[in-house]
This record gives sequence, structure tokens and C-alpha cells, in this order.
Amino acid sequence: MALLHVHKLNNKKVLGVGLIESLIALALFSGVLALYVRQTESVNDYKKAKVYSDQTNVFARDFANQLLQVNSQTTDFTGKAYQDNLLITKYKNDLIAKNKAGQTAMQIVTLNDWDNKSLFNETPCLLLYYDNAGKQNEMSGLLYYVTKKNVNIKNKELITLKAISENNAYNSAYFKDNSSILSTSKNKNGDNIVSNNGWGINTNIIKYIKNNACGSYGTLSDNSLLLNMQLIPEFNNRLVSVSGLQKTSDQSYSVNLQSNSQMDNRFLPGHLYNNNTFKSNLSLTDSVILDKNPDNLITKTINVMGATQAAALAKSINYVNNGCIYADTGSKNPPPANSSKNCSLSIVSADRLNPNRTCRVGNTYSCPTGDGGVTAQSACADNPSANSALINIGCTYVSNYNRGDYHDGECTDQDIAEGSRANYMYSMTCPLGKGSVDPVSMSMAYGSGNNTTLNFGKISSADNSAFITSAIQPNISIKTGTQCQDLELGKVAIAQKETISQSGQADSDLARNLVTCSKNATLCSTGYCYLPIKSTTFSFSNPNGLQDDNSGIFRCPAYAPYVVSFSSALVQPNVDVFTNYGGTTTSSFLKTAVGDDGNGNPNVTYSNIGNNNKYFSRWYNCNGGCNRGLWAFLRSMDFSEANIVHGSRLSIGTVSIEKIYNSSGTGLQSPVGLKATSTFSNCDNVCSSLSSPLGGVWGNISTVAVGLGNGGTISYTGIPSNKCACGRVGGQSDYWIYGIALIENVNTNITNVICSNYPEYKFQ
Amino acid sequence: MQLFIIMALGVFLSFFGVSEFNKYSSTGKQDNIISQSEGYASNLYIYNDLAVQYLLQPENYVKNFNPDAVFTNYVNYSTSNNFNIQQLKNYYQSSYNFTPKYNYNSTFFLYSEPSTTGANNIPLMYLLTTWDATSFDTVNMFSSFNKLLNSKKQSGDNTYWINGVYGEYSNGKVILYSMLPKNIAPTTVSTTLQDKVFAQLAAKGFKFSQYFYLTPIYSNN
Repeated sequence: MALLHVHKLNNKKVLGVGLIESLIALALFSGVLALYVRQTESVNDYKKAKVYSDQTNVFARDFANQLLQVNSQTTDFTGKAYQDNLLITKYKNDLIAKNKAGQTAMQIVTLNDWDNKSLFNETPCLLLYYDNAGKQNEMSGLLYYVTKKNVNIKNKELITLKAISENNAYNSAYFKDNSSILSTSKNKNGDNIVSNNGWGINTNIIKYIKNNACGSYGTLSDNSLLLNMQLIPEFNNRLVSVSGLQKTSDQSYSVNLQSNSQMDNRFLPGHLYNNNTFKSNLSLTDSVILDKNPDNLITKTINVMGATQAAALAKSINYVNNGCIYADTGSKNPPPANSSKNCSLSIVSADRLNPNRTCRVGNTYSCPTGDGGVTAQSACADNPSANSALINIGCTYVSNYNRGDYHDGECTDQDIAEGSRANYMYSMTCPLGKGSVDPVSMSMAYGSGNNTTLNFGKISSADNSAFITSAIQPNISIKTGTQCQDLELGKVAIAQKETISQSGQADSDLARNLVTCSKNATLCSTGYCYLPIKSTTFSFSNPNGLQDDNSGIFRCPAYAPYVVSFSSALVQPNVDVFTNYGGTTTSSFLKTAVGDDGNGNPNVTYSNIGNNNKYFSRWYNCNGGCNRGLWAFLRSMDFSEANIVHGSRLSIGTVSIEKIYNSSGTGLQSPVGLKATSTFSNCDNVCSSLSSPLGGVWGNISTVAVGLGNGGTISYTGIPSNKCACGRVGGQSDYWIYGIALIENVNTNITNVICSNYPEYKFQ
Repeated sequence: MQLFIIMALGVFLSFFGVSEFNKYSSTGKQDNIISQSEGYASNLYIYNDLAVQYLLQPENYVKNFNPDAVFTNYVNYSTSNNFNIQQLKNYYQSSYNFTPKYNYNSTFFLYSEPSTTGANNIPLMYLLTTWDATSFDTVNMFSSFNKLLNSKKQSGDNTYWINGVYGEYSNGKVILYSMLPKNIAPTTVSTTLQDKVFAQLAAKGFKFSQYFYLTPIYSNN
């Protein structure tokens, strides 16, 4: 029992120790669990910070892209619409106007179609501000967050700091407790745990966004992130322009045209997507030619009516630049004391600055009577005859010309706002470099319908005088081959839409190309016509025969609708060549011919006419002294099989294939398809195929051999539908032709066709 | 026995928790270095943009860009071209605060490549910024700077390629840190900068700091 008692006591002791151990273990477990919860919370905070940082960058780019949308279109005096007045330009101009008026130049912008989805239920807003106090002359941007209800979010400040740390390149400050905005800026030796880029915002901005927040979207959100828009390249394109080599412009870049689908999809100089183009707004008074001098600096004086330097400086608009020397060649020398009113702006610039100004083309506005009375009035009105298309010629303005005191402040604000101009001419000398360059010319090509374009390139008296036109955006469509005038040289257009009609199928469009008015005596009947800019060919092959369907017809596809060349597989000889002056014959001959006997008796049959296969030739008739011979008496030529003695017939597969044309009109034509069947439908097209293998020019004998014979028209009989009788053009027109051949349509496969988007021209 | 099991579990969870915390925490030394270098890179970027803005001001550009300038060994430069943050203050002070991380010194010069045809080519203006720093900071900063210039966020969706160059110039030798397109040999660029540009600038009185950033200035504003 005693042992048992002791044992029981021991059991109780064991139970007591187990409880203490369990408590210790539970405490340890709780501690570990607390650490785990803390760690999980920290990880979640990190994830939120990353999302917060990324989200803010996305919003910043959304804002920047929104500002690059088109606000409205501008129409020049020709009625041409440009994508002008981007939102970012509009805001900047508005803020500049406010700044000049002594008002606070700040503007709050919200995202279009905001879906209210963001971390912490905050709404991003953009503050645009402009302050010219330090001549910075630049609109700045600040992205910040507002919320309708500031709730206490655990660790929000820590998350924001982590978000800044996550992306120091952009996020540089945060708003705290609705009372101040903290910049984490510290110098290099500071002990700040958050690295930063040294950027912060000043007290004026803080006050403004605190007082104005973001309209109905609420008030500033506590501990929210702030982002410097100056580091977003879409907002500040200077970042890209100095750090990247400019590429060709994204002319095809598609933008949201908002509600105006008629607007041209083009960008004016200065747009980010047209960043590589030079930005001079010039109005030429006439076409100019830039000359070449191999020994000296290439220069050319161009008379321009452009934005003056003073105007440019005053309004931050572009002006003549890139190496051109700008000289005052005005008729008033020295300029009059009141030259401050002699302001010169292009219409496009004027439209951009003040599209609703009263002094504009088409407006019936009577300018105030000035020093010159009526003169002042005409000077105030835009003059279409002195203006032309907007151009960029890539010259840099360099002011090594001392323009003197008289020119200071040439343009008053009022002048610029009204877009006024005066008949005051300047010249610009553009150095183009030295060396062996071709003469460069520039022209304004004009024609009917106010379709004026500006073109660059070279011009000479020889053929292929054309302009470089790839940078010119066409705005009209013209049918390929249409004649143009010399004054239209270089004009670019879209090839007019054309269709191919196929039996049983809907009309199909031909490929569109760009065409330019070119000088080409070979291809253009009047010397000048619209020709495609680029030629592309496609090869189609099938050893068993190419055809669209069982009809034996193959048509080139719409994107390359013209047949350039083709080949075929032939299974048997098919061409008899009876005569061929100076060329190949097959020793075939006709057994009989019908003529008169020279005594007024028609329809006399000449039997065994072909004992000599040169019977119809010039040599037979003219050997030993030319006379009219048989041709003079011939009345009928019989090509029926029974009348032919075949020699060694030629195998010319391509002549069994008939070319199909889209139209039969006169002018420039090119085949659009091929037909390989057992019959011929148009011997004019078939016989022309002999020209290549036999030499000379061949055609349907009924067409090319009319008027022969002394007593009347010769008839050609006995030609079945699967044969064409052909004649070679030339000879003594009244008496004989150079050659006669007969083509039989045999079983032929079209094995290869090369199609092009550039037609092969020939005159009919 | 239960005690050992629970303690083992506790040790395991502690180890797991600490390792995971360290894994996701951005407070490690390396993270701080990266974060700091990003800030320094952005700081240089902002400074350079201010300098470009300063040079592109019409009154400055027009005054300084002279195609008829006299070139001595391809370079047209004078010490009056030099400027620093003091000259740039007007371009940001009214709108925001900016604290340069380093003592940046900048200048601009015109450079005209000798023509093989005896022609006078039109010169191009360059902006040169130099500063001193520890090599540790600068190497890390250049790493972040390169990342910044080449990031899609900074270059957009366009196919621009970077042609600003940056690196070290000490003892008359150029070491490039910038990336160049593969069709441009770094040694060629180094030699050109070293012999044809920097040596000429130094000879004309420009005092180089150890590191530099060189960008062309296009007159497109």
C-alpha cells in the first residue's frame, strides 16, 4: 500500500508539471503566432505598397495620354482639317492666359470614365499649374489622391512610404493628415530611411490642392501618394527628345478622334508622335528651289511669312530654326518706329492661338482704322493668296543677325491674339551642307479643287523627275494613270478605289497604292500622270495549272491585281508561221487562195499556192523588181484545216493563254487575269503574244491587215473558234504585211503567274 | 515529450516566419542601396531635364547656337558656357523644390565632325554634366539610371534608342557605363569622347569632375 500510495503521489506530481509545461508551451505558441501574424501583416503591407506604386504610375500615364487627345480640329483656309489643339495645348494656353491676367494659373483635371476602382477607394486627380515668374515657361503636373471619406487605414503611412521606396523614380512625396504635404527629400548625408529623388512641391501648390481638392470626388486623402508628372515622357516629351534618337514619325498612329470621324489622322509638328519632324510654321509665298553648290555652303533664300521671333518668344510657339539665318529684308528699311504692329503669323498658328478671332478669313469684320486706314484693314485680314500649306522644312533658326532695337517687341499681345499679319517679308537662308548632293527642290503642287500639297525632292529636265513624297500625307484619291499638269508635279494621292467584276461573284476591290504626279514620257501620254509610288510583285505557281475555277481563268488577287508575266506547260505544237520577214517560219503554207485574175474576174482560185512557202512574202512578190504581186489581186485567204499544209509547228504555250483586261478603253491598260480554255474569245489579245517569241509586233490579221489588196478588202475565212489568224504589223501598207501565222488553242496549263500592284502600261 | 514537440513546432514556425519576413521585407541593406540609387538616378534625370530646359530657352539657344562658330579641333567652347544649379533655379523654384544629390556642374559646347568631303557640317550642341561621388554610389546610380532610361515607363511604347552617354572621365581616360546600340562600338565612342571632345574641353579650361552625362540638344522646342 505504501508503495501504491507513493505511486499515487508521484502521479499527482506528474500531472502538475504537465500543466505548467502546457502553459509555457501555450505562451511560446502564442508568441510564435504573434510573430507570424506580424510577418503576414508586413508582407501584405508590402504587397499593397507595390500595388499602390504601380497603380499610381498607371494613373499618371492615363492622365498623360488623356491630355494628348484631340480637343478640337483646326481648319486652314483651304478647308483642310488638322488634328490640332490637343488637350495639353489647350490647358497650357488657358493657364498662360490666366497667368498673364494675374490669376492663379492652376487647373484640376480628372480621369475620363473613372470607374472608382482603386486601392483605398481613392480617386486620382491631376493638378496642372503654370508659373512664369522664373521664365520657366512650362506647365507642370502633380498627381494626387482624394477620397470622399477619410477612414483610418492601418499602416497607411507605412504603406505609402514603402510605395515611394518601391519606385523612387516617380513617387517622391506624400500627403499626410490633411494638414501638410511631406517631401521625403533629404540630402545625401541625411539619415532618412527612404531614398528619394530630391523633388518636392512648394507651399503654393499645397494650399491650392488643399482648398480645391478635386471637385465632387472628395478631399485630400490622408497619407496618400504624390507623383511628379514631369518625369512621365508622355507629359514631358523633352525627356524623350534628349535621351533618344528620333525615329520616323508614327504617321499611322491611331488616336481617339472623339466624335469627329472626319478628322485627318495626322499630327502637327510638336506632337509627341510626330516628334522627329522639325517644327517651323512657315507659309511660302511661292514654290522655291534649293540650289546646290559643290564648293560652298548650300544656301537658298526663301521668302517666308512666319511667326517672328518676338511672337514665338511671347507665345512659346515654334519659329524658324535649325541653321537658317533669318534676315529682315522688309521694304521698310529701317523698320518704322511703329513696327511693333507689324506682326506676322501663319494662319495655322493664328488659328491655334485664337480660332475665334474676329479678324479671320471669311469673317466680315472691319478692322479698326489704323495708321494706314484701308491698308490697316487689309493687313489685319488673313490673305489666302499669300498663305499656303503648313510645312516643316527642318531648318533651325539662328540669330546671328543683329536685328536692332526697332524690332524688339515686334508683336504685341493683341496682335498675336488677333492673329494679325502685315505684308512684311523676311528671308531665311538655309545651309544644307556641302558635297555631292542632288539639287533639292520644294514645291507646292496645286490643282483643281483646292487640293494643294507640299512636296520635296529633286527635279530635272529628264524623265523620272519626281519628288520625295513619302512624308506627305495624301488627302485625295486619284485614279492611277490620270493625267496631271506640270504644276502638279510631286502631288501625292491615294490610288482611287477600283474593282474587278467577276461573273457570279461580287465586285472585288483592287489594292490601293499611293500615286504621285510624275513626269514620264513613256508611261504618260501627255508627259505627266499619276503613277504608283511602290511596286510589289507576287508569284503564284502550280505545275498542274492555276485557275480560279473550272472555267480555266486565273485572276490576280486584289492586293496585286496586275499580271506582269506568266508561263505555261504545253503538250503539243500549236503555231504555224507562214511568213515572217527576217524571222522564224515553220515552212507551213496554204494550199489555195482566192483573188481575181487581173482581168476583172474575182473569186479565181489559185491552187497549190504554197509550193513555195514564201508565196505571200515580200520576196516572192518583189524578187527581181517589186510589184504588187499576189497581194494586189488577193480577195480571200482561207485558214481552214483542209487548206493548210503544216510544217514543223512551233510549241509556244503562252500564246494559247488569253489575257483578260479589266476594261477595253483606251489609255493605260494592264491585264488582270489569264484564261486557258479550248477556245479564243479575243484574237487581238492572243496574237499580241507572238511578239515576244517571233519578234516584231503581231495582231489579229483582220485588224492589222486591212486595206490590203488592189481591188478591195481581203477577207480571212475558215478560222475556227479555237484558232486565231495573226499578222505582223509592217510592210508596204497597201500591198503586203511582214508576217502571217495561225495559232491553235491547245490544252495548256498556266503554271506560273507573277502579279503586281503596279500595272504594266501600254498604249492602245 | 509534449514540451519538446511544441517547442520544436515553435522553433520551426519562428524560423519560417523570420525567413519569410526577410524575404519580403524591403528593409535589407541591399534593398536600401537599390532604393537610394533609384533616387539618385531620378535626381540626375530631373537635373538634366532642367538643364535641357534652360538651354532650349529661345534666348539661350539662339544666343549660343552659332553655325558660323569657329571650331578648334572640332569643338567650340568657352568657360562662360558653364552653369550649375544656381542658373537653373528660375526653372523650378516657383513650382517645386529640388535638391541636387550631387554637386552637378554643367556646360554646353558645339561639336562639328570633320567632313570627309571638305564640307562644313552643321554643328550640334551638347550638354555635359559632371559631378564627383564615390564609385560605390555612382556605379549603383548608373545601374538605376540605365534602368530608368530604358524602362518602358520612361521611353513609352516608341522604339527610341538611347543615345545619351554617361560614364567616368579620370586621368584623361573615358570609361563608358551607358549602353549603346550594338551597331555602335563602345571603344569608338570612348575614343571620340576622350580625344576629340573631352581633351579639347579640358584644354580650353573646363574642369571635369569624375563622372559625366552627355546628351545632344536638339532644337525641337
